[in-house]
Amino acid sequence: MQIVETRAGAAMVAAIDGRLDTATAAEAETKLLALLGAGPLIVDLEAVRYVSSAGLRVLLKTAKQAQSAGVKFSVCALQPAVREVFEISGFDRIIPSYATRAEAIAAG
Amino acid sequence: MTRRLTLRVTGGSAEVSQAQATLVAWLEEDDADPRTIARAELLVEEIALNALDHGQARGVTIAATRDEDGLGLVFEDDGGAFDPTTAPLPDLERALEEATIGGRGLVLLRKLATALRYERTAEGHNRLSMTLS
Repeated sequence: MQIVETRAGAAMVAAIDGRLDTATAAEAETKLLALLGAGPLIVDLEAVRYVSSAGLRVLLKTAKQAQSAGVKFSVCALQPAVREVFEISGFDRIIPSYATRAEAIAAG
Repeated sequence: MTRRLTLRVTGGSAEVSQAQATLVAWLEEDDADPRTIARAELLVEEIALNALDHGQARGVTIAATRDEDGLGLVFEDDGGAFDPTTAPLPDLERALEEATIGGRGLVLLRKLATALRYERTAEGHNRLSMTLS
């Protein structure tokens, strides 16, 4: 699992490549939380084919901390298996999700 | 023809990842539907790690059976008794500020698996069986 950070105007895009699971959760959490001070945070999941509940936990924790800090948080480009996990676990209702990175950036 | 695969996991997340990779390769060999493969892979992590981390199981055995009816999975572990078919689920309607972090794996299990059945065996093991479509 790798995370590539890219600035897009005021927002910070964190593109994750790989699996978001028990084996990678701690590293992903540290990196994502560290990006919260840098403006709205968009997590791009285009290159993520697998998210387990450990990965969901990281995203929920980041979303909660973003909200406490008054920072916008969203995800984008969910692949089918990841979308299924999001929908079943109710995450599609609590974390804003966009089809593409461009849409997420435009939403500011 | 029925194909069978048995996996045994005794360690942490690296060993679970290895078991997932073996199961995925076995299902791909058999041209299983990508959605079924994704669901099976996910449930292996959710169930095995839960048994090892929370149930203090020493090991989890995963028996997979594939025939014309689909994919059957049976998990057996020697950890503390835990029935995931009746354990309370988190409230998914809560807004972000109230949403709870835990319990999502249980939601995934209950919604992705069909014919989910739990029993505590005579040997004192948790035995969880399901089919996936």
